[in-house]
Amino acid sequence: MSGIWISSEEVAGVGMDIARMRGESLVRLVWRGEKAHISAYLPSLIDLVEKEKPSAVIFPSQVDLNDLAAGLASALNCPFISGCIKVAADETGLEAQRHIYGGAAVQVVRSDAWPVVLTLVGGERVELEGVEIKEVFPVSQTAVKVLERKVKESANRPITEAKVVISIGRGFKRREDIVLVKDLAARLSGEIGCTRPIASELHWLPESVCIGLSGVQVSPDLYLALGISGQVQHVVGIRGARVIVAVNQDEKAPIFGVADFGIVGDLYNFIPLFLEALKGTR
Amino acid sequence: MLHIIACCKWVIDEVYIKRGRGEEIDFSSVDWKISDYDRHALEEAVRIKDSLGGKVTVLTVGAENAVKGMKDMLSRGADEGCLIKDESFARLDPAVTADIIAHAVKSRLSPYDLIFFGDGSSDLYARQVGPRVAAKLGISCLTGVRKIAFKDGYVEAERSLEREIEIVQAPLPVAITVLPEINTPRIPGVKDTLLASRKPVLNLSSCDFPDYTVPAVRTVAIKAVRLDRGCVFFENNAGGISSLVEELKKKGILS
Amino acid sequence: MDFKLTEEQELIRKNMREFCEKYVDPIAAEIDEQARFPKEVFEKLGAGDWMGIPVPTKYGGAGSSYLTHIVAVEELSRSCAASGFTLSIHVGIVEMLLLLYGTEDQKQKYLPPLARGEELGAFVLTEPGAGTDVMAAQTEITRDGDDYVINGTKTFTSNGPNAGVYIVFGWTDKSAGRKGMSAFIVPKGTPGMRVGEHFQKMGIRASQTSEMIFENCRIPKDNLLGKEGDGLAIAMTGLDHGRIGIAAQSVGILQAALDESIKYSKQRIQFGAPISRNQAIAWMIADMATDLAAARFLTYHAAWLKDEGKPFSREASMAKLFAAEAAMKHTIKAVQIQGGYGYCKGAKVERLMRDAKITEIYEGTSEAQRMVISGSLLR
Repeated sequence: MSGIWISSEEVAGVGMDIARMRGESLVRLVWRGEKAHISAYLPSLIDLVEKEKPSAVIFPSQVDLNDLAAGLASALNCPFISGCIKVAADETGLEAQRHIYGGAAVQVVRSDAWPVVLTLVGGERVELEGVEIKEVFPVSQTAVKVLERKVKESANRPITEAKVVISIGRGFKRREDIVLVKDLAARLSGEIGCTRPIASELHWLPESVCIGLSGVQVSPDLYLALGISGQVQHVVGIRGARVIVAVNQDEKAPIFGVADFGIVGDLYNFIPLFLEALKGTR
Repeated sequence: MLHIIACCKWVIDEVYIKRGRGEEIDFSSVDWKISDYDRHALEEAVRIKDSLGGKVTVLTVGAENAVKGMKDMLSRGADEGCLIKDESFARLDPAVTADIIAHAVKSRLSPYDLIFFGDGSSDLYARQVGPRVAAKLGISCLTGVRKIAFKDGYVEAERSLEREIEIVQAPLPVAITVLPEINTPRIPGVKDTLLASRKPVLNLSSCDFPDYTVPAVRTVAIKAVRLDRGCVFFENNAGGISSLVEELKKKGILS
Repeated sequence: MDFKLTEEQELIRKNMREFCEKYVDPIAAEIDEQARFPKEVFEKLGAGDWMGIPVPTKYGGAGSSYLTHIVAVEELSRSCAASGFTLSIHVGIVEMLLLLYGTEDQKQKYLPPLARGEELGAFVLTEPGAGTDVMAAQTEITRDGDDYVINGTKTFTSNGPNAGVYIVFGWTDKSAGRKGMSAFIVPKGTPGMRVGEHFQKMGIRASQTSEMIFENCRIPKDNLLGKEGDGLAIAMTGLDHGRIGIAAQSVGILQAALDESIKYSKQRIQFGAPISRNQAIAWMIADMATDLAAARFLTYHAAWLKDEGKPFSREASMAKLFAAEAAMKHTIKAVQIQGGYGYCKGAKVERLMRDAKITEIYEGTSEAQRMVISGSLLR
């Protein structure tokens, strides 16, 4: 058994750690062919893994890749740890951490059997050079046919890479008011994010900037939460932020329980005052 | 006549979880609920039945208290239940849960046309059971689905991926995991709840299943997350906000 | 002894909680401020069978117990005490009286629209000079051929402006004393019945209260509820049932006060620590929780007696007396805990305190409850 396989460079960090610990080499998968439904890749991936017997196959935690990981683990009847936020290999196996109970707790799991399949949340991207490559080809026939693909409306640059994230919640009364946040985002060179209801129920902002357990997880230097109550499912997505500032009318809003700085008050008053106060800064 | 199976998990309501001493979790006063995403799965199953005709079987795997969960599930429009309960089923690894569900579906609930799951459970959010059950049953699995339509015996589904919407077509039977935006689950009326216990339930326990190997993945600890950053408050006026800006400068965020 | 609700009752409570979080909590402060009756909420409650829980299914109800209804009133009151009260009168008094005293024809005619929430019920007893002293009523109801004719002015009629079915009390034979009063079912739109002055109240403002004026209001004899002369007994039976509802309303208010107090005191920082660490605050919360538990048990016990077919009049009065006084006492404390914030509009505890006061007054004042309780002991 040999090799730590990664599905992309997004999860190279953990892949390299495990490879180093076990003295194995890192292998990067390359996905060939026309894009079909993800199930098209499963047969050849299973064949490849059964033939080459890697110790681990690691994917980013994404909808399609999670399907692939589950299908692979099911076929190999091997352990699959999904949604890992931290992974460490040791002499016998590996230990992983993952969020449970909507982010209220962390589950620490161990697996002492190899091979193992992992999906990672917010893995560390490492640009790889000279790493071995394995190609995976889709099969031509699948039960599921893709009829259409539409690119989702999305932010210009991924919110996960922004240094400043200004995020909006139900405290905003009207869609037009997002303009106010745009001014602020421009001033701070930040990106705009939101809570689940703003993206999924009101459709004011694209899903790609919905922050939380079922959305993206961000770790900017500054996270400014405007009119966000702070449900645990949202809060889990901002844990990595260096400084969290919360503005909310309700002094009892749970967001203050996770913030560094808080302002109890009307965000519509806050925004112009904050813009004014920023005038002397760079 | 469609036979639709909706799989629901009876879970601890995370709202009631408190941090005990240190990293311990205090489970002493928790209440239970149907896993959030699974409510959407059940709702979608019932809506499809209501528009196309057929029967909805709601299935759950759990420990003794899943009996109450089953009543809750049946009050939400399902016609029948399949209650798989055993004390040893309290904290199953998703792989084993999937084996149990697949076995029950194959041996007791066939034929079927659709199996619905939530995108992930409210407690573990492992997102494994749906695709694993489909793999065991040898059927396709459509994950991350936010809209469903039926055309000429096929399911057409809108899948919400990270950067795109993928519209796919699949033959029946098929497994589907749904996102919350697919529908708004009903709040059961009083009669719905009272009538739930009169609906037929197929009761299964561990002796109805082959021995499943002890999963190689085991939980070694569950730790409460400490989120408190000791919030410092400022007034919402020019003075307060300039103090906030000063603090942000000290932290090196503004200069 | 069994102190458990059934699993169904627990689920019904949870569903009512979810209903409230979705449809009631977002508007509770606003309907209080505007003194608006939330018709849309009651339409939804009707669709979910909440408006006729103890009414048998053959009359359009859910066919459950009185205790289940009481749990629903408690949970609704926790979000909006005015709406909890509306539900209590509608089911606990109007529907129960129709069930207990109505003829088969009356039940079939009036119960289904009430149980489905299409019509609201009102209990029309109190008069300007006749509150606790029911016998001081002036309203006269005279027989005229196959009809009866009502003349009089009623006051403080809850749901008055919004009801579809009124149960109206008055003298058919004043000389017969306690046996001289009768009860009638008067549907809305009956000529001669009109809504008078609307009252602006301190609390439960989303429940509308008005005068009801009867001027030669003619109703067929088929609308007599029970027999001629049964009026006083019917009124007292209605109040016995209704009082358990008011007790449940008070329990809901208490629970809300406790929820608010715990949440606030753990988050409010003074002198560098949450105020919940001050014994002065912690003990207020301990007393609140203790009285809440006692009030809830008294209330459920009274409802249980009713469901068991046992006498419950005294226990209903005890539950109402204790729960109402506890609600008043502890909502004052809940405002105290929140200090200046609690005293301002928009704080939920401010509304709770105003809402609590009425529980000591209507459907028999605390003094009247003590009369009932002592009367039954010292007879």
